[in-house]
Amino acid sequence: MLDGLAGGHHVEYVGDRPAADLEAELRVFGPVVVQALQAGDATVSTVADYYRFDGRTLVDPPASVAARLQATGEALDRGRAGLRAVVDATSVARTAEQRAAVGQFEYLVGRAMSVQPLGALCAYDVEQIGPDAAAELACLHPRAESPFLLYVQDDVEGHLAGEIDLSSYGQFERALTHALPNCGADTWVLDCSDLAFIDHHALILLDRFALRAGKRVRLRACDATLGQVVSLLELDAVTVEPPA
Amino acid sequence: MSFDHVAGFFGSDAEFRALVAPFVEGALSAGEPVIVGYDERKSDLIRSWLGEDGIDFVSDTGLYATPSRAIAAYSELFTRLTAAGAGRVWISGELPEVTPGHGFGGWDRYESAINAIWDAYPVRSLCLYDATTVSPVVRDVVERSHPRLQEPDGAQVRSERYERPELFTALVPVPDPLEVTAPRLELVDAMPMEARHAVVAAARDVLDDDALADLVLAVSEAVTNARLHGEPPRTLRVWTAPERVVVHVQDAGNGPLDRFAGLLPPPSAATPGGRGVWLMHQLPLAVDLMHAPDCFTVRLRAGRGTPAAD
Repeated sequence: MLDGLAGGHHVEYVGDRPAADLEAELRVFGPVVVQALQAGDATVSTVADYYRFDGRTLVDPPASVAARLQATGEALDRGRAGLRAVVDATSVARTAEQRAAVGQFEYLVGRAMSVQPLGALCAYDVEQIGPDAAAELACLHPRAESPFLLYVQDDVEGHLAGEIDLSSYGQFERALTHALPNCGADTWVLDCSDLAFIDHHALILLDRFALRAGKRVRLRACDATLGQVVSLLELDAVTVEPPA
Repeated sequence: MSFDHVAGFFGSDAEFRALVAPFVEGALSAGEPVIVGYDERKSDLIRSWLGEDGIDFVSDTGLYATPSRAIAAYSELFTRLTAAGAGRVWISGELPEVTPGHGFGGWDRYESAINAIWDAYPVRSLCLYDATTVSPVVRDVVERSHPRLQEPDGAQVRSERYERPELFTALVPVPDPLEVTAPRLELVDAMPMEARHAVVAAARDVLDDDALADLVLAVSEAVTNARLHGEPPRTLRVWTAPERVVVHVQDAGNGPLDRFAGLLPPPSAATPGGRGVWLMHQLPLAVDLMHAPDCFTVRLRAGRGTPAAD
């Protein structure tokens, strides 16, 4: 948050608590933040105001992304460099249905962030939603404590990073559920330059998800072993892009 | 028609010709595809005797990188040729010999398994071995894995020592000298990620990047299988020497019961996975599945002297 302010961004502090409580929490960060609050360069929002909803508790992913982009535009109009948000999203991630919606939002807003000066630090209380639920959403971010990451950045549809094995099959399945259906193209390109390991079980999971979604997946920047394994498995929907 | 698996031993170029020439000529006169896979010297001899027309000389040494790869490659070839109308496919070749420290490298299981795996294919196979150099180990395997033996004088006899695939006794894996020394690394009940990281740390200065990546994949698949199908304790041991690595993934279970484990991919299952053993047999590693009364061990060897990697 301090880094955002130093860079001229508008910063937004979001939680499922009254605005007065959120502001009091923010003031603890010191005089720079207090001054920003006074100047209007830092604001607080309740979860209800930050997201757009489909019903009472389900985040509406496209509408919420549109709201973020609008807020970013407004920040730019005020002469700020962009918009950064710190969001305690625990209250919209308690149930599987909620996490499915938030998961789609995380993936879609990642695409928006790749082309707009919009950034966010998303927080989920592990004690409230459990480690599996937190992991399900954490892995959708470019930086997170997770054995693997599946996210959007730059002009490539997706990045697959880290390690996927027996310990993370379930998490990987859920991440694919959140991300794959949102791919606009028939072929989803996954950059694997930061993928340290994926076993054959996970590759078959990826293949089956792609088939069900009616998509093809092209793996980019694979090492020789991964390319060999994909070839040996003779997957229906997953291929390896030839090296440039 | 079914798979016809015959072996022969020759003691001279003349005997080799007496064995291979009628076989190839039989295929050519029948107008059926014939494939020969011998070293350069023997291939040149065949060319000098029979020419090249109509004969497919296998030059891809990668085809014999591992027994499992050879089965996959030839199965695909047989399927393609018969689908194209071949009434029978004729194939004659030789297998890699015994490698110091690696024995017959799993080719004993191959020679036996193909009697069952290719039983439905209309293939006539003639495997010829040099009697002057063949090791006792290989001769023993040949006699137990081929139903019939071809003599240079034209006679064909039943191999009295033939063992059906379901009864075939595979060679006991040759002990590795490193295994009697203290392992560089030993982990108990490690998860696949911990196992991979440990192997990388132990072997990164011993193997090149590609060999290390192959070994790490195989280790991960073996450790995953041990956790899914094996019994505790599950132990990972790693030995290293200049330019080579030996890994044991051991558990107290029985290991795979399928006699063809690793040689064939399992049929597509409702759930993902199930191909770990087969996958590790595709890699340029020496893989041994070692069953003991109280444990099962996957032995993986990489680096210098590994037949599949050479």
